[in-house]
Amino acid sequence: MKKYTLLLILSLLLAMGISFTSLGYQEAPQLAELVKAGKLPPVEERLPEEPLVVEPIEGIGKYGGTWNRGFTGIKDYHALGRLIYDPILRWPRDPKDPVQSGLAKQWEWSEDGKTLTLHLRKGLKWSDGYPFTTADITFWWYDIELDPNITAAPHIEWVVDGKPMELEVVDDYTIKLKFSQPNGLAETVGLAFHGNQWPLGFERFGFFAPRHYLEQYHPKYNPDVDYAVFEDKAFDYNTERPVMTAWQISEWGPGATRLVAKRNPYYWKVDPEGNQLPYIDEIILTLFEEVEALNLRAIEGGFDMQFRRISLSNYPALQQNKDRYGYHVLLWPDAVGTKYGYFFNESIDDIGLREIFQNPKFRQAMAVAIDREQINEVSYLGIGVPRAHTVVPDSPYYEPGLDQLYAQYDPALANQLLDEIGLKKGPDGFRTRPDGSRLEITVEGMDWDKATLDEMELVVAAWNEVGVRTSLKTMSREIYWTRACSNEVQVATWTVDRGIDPMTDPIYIFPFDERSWMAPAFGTWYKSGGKLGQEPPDYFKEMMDLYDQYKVTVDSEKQKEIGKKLVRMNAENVFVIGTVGMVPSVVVVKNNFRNIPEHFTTDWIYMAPGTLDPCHFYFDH
Amino acid sequence: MNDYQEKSNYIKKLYEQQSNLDQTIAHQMMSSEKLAFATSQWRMMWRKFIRNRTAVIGGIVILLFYLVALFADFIVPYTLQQRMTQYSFLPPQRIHFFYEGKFQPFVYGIKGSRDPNTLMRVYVTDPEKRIPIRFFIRGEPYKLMGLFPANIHLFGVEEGIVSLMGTDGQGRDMFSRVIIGSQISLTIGLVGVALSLVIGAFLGVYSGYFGGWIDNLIQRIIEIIRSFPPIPLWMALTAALPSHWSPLKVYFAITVILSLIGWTWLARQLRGKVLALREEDFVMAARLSGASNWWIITKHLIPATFSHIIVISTLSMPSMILAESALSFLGLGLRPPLTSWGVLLQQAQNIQVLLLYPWLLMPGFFVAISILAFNFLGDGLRDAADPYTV
Repeated sequence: MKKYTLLLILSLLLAMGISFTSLGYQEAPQLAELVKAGKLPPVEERLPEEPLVVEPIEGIGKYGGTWNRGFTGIKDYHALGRLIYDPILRWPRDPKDPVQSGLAKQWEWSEDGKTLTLHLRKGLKWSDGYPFTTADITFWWYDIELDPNITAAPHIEWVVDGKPMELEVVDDYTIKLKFSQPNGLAETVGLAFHGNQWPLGFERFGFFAPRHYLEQYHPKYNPDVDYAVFEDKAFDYNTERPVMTAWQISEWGPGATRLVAKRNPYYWKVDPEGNQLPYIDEIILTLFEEVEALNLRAIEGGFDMQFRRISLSNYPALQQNKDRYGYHVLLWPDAVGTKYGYFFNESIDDIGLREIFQNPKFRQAMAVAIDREQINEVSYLGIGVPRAHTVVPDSPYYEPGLDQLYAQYDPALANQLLDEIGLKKGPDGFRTRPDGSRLEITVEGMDWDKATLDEMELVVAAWNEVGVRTSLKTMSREIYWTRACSNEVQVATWTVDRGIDPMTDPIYIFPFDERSWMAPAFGTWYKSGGKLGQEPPDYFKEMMDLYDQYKVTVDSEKQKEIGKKLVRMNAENVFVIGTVGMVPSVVVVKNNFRNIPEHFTTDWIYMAPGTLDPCHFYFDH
Repeated sequence: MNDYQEKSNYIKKLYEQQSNLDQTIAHQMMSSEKLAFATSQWRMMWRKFIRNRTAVIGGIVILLFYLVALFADFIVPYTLQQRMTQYSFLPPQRIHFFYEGKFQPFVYGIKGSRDPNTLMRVYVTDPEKRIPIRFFIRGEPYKLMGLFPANIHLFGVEEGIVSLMGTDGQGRDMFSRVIIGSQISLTIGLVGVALSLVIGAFLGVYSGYFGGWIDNLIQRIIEIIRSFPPIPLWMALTAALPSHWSPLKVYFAITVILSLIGWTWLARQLRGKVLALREEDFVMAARLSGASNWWIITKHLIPATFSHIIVISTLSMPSMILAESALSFLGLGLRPPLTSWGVLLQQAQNIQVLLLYPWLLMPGFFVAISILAFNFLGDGLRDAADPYTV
């Protein structure tokens, strides 16, 4: 028996050795030249002991090429940020799968769910060749996340029961995260969504930062600098800053009209044949001040692969020009429960309106007064899905039927419901409040594009049709956002995404914070632990309690149960009125651009297209 | 006191003598070619004006535009709220006027569908189906000039759709929208100019009449205002408007903002004119007869500069209309659901309109026509206002 085992182990070791030497690792031709010139260590030394192997979507790729894309400036960090999605743990490609390994190869929970141990890949290196270790995590935690000069308050997933987590460094590659209660958000929100290099553009979340580089610019270690210097150096647009991603920004500065990101020679992923990724040499993002100009460039075939900022309204024009410019157009479903949602503010200061808005029958009536087919035809080329606001079928929290709850077009029912709750129609065809005074509501929104404006006008017309006097006001994003978050808007509107995993940031499910425009004041109350805002009614408190439970549940099946319950309550109460959802993203792909799937559900929380591993996209020359 | 009375009596006498002389001269000249001197200034201006063909055409176009704007709701076949979503992005329809030799306007019926490949709305005409265009047809109710309820439209169809300039994405008739939009676009100029007239005329005349430190102060204020580049200034001011204002309030606020700059131009010109006029004998005479400054300004100086005021205000109309369109086009002026030419153009501000639905740019054509017309009219008026030079 013992002999057998020994033999087995020996032969296994042998096999591994053979495969290692016979396969070896290959690298991009430019890197090979640098190695030859002695400017770079050989690829085996640059890669970690166990590189992450990317399963190709179509096949093994070829090295080379420049990926041309467009973006709208410094605020549009996600144009690059989602291509270089490299957190500690990764969201899966198929949203129904569990969280996958990333920079951490393995991770396990303690029995009580209060300790999470992370095992980083051994031999990981920053883009400057310096080892990536647990020190980079502790640096982020103690000197960024817990430094009030940089982060106002640590993110909620790291604060359980009001107590921030504690870190225990075992060695360079092993670290323990300790919580006072089981932490149900650590894996998903903490390590897959927020587990990237700090600060991810303007999002200011992360889980690690290059200690060896940033220490010299941190006021704690270098009294000669201030926090402005630190912010500057730690920022994603700093070309000197080491990264763990496939490409590193190499060209960007004030007045620049393009952003260039070059291949990272120390990138830690390979394809199944041992070719070091990424295949593509560099990414060039061209700056467009106007989204329209960016779309025009896309129509002219100026981009190799992009869906960000390309509007569905241009689909006909793209289709008409695709053969001329050698690209094709894909429609990827977007995980938006509704492309545009309507939030009746249940914490509005006008008490009369608040009572009306808090009545579920009122919201049901307003929901069925809308002709969703018509909106789909006018605004979304007829290819969206008329539905209520809830998660999409790809979501683990999906329950059939909820997406059609109060999504029918039935003005008679709407009128009947409104009559029932005492909003009587006057001689002019418009309804009054139960006390007989004038009822008038204002829908507010930001001016996105023509399609959204068309949709808002149709909805407003539909509500007037059932006798609720409604007017519409649009304004710039800055003004609108501030108004909506400060509880001033009666009916707010917004794109309601997070359709796959609403629990990561449940602002559209219940009043979670001031961004939950179904009741911003109640959301503020929840966020501040009852110190600010206004106390919500019981039906919201019930949901808040459920989410508190969700947060301390580590068992993913049990979490799913709670999540489903919350999603159901949200849909049944019509807290957000949906119209047309799952409107596709328009993807423009050059005909020689490979490893792009025909179907893929895009979602911002999942950093689309980050989970497709853009590092293995390639050009077929 | 006596001295003064004597003087004024003397001047009165002089006046009488002068006018007697004038009359005799006029009588003598009646037969001669220089008849013009006997006619009033206004008559002469009119004569000179109608000799200028382009100006007359401009004037007629403007008159027409304002008439149409006044009766807009009657002229258009559809109201602003009427959406025929089954006809979204319908290209302009061809109107056929004769059928079998008889005058009987009609349009062909159309069928819409979505191209499965490009997902674009496509329409085919059905030559079998003729839809006659009826005049004075009963349609959607509206309020004429916002006052009188009515439901008779100048023209329309009983079934299908008649759309002279096509429809937009929501299936709203562009012809109706352009015509109704002209109400705001054209009146914003009127109201704005009227406002700047009031401010400009008084400040300009005061400045010129009094001179001294008042003149200095007003002129420096004008210089300060004029030294700002107008578009950024408008942008800053409109951005400062409270966002919770109703669209109508915003409309008035924007007219005020536009006229805040508009008056300086007028004031400058009037000041120059008044500087010359105040040295004239009739002002001296009025002053000597004990007229107050207010009397002199309102009864003598402003009427004397009337021709100027009219010219300047016609010439500043186009810039007002353009300013509204420009601001709305930039998304800073009026916003939907208000409908003006600028708003319509703003909504046409994307490449799919340029590539696929070019008829949505039609409001631009109307802006151009109205501005040209105003400019021609203003030019003609300017020439006419000074009838003594050839």
